[in-house]
Amino acid sequence: MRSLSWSNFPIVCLAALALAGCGSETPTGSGAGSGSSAPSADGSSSSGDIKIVILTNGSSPFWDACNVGLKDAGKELGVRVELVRNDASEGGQIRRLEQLATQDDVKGVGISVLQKEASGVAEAMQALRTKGVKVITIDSDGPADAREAFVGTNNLEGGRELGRLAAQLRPAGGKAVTFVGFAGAQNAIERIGGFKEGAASAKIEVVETKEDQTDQTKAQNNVTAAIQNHPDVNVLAGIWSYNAPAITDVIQANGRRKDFTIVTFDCEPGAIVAMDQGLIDAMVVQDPYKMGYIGAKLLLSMIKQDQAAVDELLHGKDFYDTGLKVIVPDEKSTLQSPYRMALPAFKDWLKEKGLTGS
Amino acid sequence: MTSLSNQRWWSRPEFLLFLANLVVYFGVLLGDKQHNFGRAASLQLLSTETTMLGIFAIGITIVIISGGIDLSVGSVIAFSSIVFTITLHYLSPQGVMSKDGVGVWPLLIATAVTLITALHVGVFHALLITRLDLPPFIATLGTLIGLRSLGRVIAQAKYQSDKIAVSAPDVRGLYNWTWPLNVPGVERPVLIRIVPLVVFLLVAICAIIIMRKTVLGRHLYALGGNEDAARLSGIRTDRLKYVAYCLGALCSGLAGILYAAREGQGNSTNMGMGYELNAIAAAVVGGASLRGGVGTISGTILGALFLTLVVNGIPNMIKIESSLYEGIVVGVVVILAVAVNQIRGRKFGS
Repeated sequence: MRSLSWSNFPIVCLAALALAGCGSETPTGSGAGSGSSAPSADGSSSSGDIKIVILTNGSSPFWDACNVGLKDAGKELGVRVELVRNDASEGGQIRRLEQLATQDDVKGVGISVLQKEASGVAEAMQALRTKGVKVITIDSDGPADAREAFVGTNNLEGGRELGRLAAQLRPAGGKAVTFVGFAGAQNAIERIGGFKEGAASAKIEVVETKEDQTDQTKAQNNVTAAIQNHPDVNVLAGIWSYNAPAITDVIQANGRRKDFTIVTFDCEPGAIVAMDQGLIDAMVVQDPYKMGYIGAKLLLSMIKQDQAAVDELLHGKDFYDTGLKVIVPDEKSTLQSPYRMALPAFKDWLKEKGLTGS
Repeated sequence: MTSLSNQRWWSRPEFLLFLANLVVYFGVLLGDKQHNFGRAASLQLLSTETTMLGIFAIGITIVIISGGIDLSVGSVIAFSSIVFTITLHYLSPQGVMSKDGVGVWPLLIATAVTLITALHVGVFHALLITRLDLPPFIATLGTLIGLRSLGRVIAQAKYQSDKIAVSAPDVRGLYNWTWPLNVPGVERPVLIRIVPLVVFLLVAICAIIIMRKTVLGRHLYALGGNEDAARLSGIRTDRLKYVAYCLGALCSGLAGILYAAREGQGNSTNMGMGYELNAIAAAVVGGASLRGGVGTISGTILGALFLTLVVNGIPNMIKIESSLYEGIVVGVVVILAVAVNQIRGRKFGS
């Protein structure tokens, strides 16, 4: 039996090789065979041939809501969609972009750029565009010449709003520490910059920004270190979504809630519970559902060269603002904001969209 | 070694792994309904990923054959990227971010400085293992944790950032320069990334010669097979450990330079995270035994190709949410490949 299998194995493989060789020359029917994956002359490629991908920066629950929006858009528009979660490294984003470049059915890619300065990511985006793939940035922008448009929050305004909320809560001023995954990410730069501007009206000074590289254990350790190393700090600001539960877990465990004003960005399921428990004063919430939904819609319009639809979304700019919500614990809250929404109403909104966080 | 050289070519693990690679390759080709796999872009990705992984997998194979283990591969890659980019910033502060590039000499000097630093990491490992008698697992675990932190400290001290950007075209060219290669049956030339390929070929040829044709190579096998017997037969085992760990670290240093060119930055934070496990998987799939004394460089190269084929084949077979299944498929395939190797080894007594 053994000698039979050894002697036959190469023949079987050669047969497989021959079969596969035939298969590889089979026309694809989707234009991939000719290497041409562009829409037809009238710009109306069949939506069924199209796959739209959103590549995340990491794997935070923030992206779950984006995935729901993406899938809803996929169903509505009749295109295949996929949310690919990155491992929070630039190398991972480059590898995944290079992988997407080998997929002829991928016609549109949205990416949340981890580090704007990493020219490798920008070049991988450019390589996709050279191949005819439409590339936009989502949530965190990259170099303008490497993408068609940016769909996301006005992070600078979001940061300012977070700072203004902190200023309302601490009118006598104070000192703040900000917590973030990577301070070099474009959204982090803008949010922290905006926070400093907004908080300056109450003379709140940011004494340190602590990075955790999206490691959630480290995010908690950073909070512990911050409250130990800066005894005069009275404002803690979470800049990325998982920073909110990291801050509240540590503050609750140390029984020091009354010593700090806690304001955070985004709203993971844990943050909703924390606000319910009175552990968060205010949250500036983005709309990742809309990022996924609008991202897919914009990409499909670009792929189909439907300039009217693109203009309707972008109004001649290269930025679609998915908007902000400022979540306060209840209607009685004295915090003022043009984006204000009370937590119970926000929970209803989440329920309506089938989301657990945003 | 003797048993391997006496085996018929078709029963050698490398041949079986070669066939397994063919089966996976053509299996994915058949299963890929959109026929993306096997096209020029896909072949470019396969060659790049295999050569980049192959470079440091060869290094760890030498360490494994000598009876050791090196868990610090990913960290040495990350640390080397920092050393490389900092040196470039020091030698050509204007050039690193300009379109003119840094020039040949800064590039050569930065490469030399990086490799010398990597060599010192290897020496440090061997020193801990031979002088302090630390188990290789612990010695390299220390640098796995410590080197990333050291890289961040250095980068922060000099540039107030964990990551040191370099966008000079000649530095990026170490990853981006391509060579068109006509492959029969492929619609257009495959743009092979030439520098990683050349580095990989040089490393592979040198390693094969060392391990197959030199006394040093035979001694490394003897050291891994039975350290006491090797020592009693007059082999200076401590010196051999220095050689093994230095060669391993050198390979990681080379990979660090190429990954810095790929990312366009030195990155001690998350570059090469977990790559040691990929390298060990490539070596083990290629027939190396973690007990030492067994393994070949050609087996590791085929193991690296096998892993790359599987990882890059998955998105072509599973069109939606493929990233969810990647870990499961790779895990099962690695276990299967090693189990087949073990069963085969028992049957043939190799």
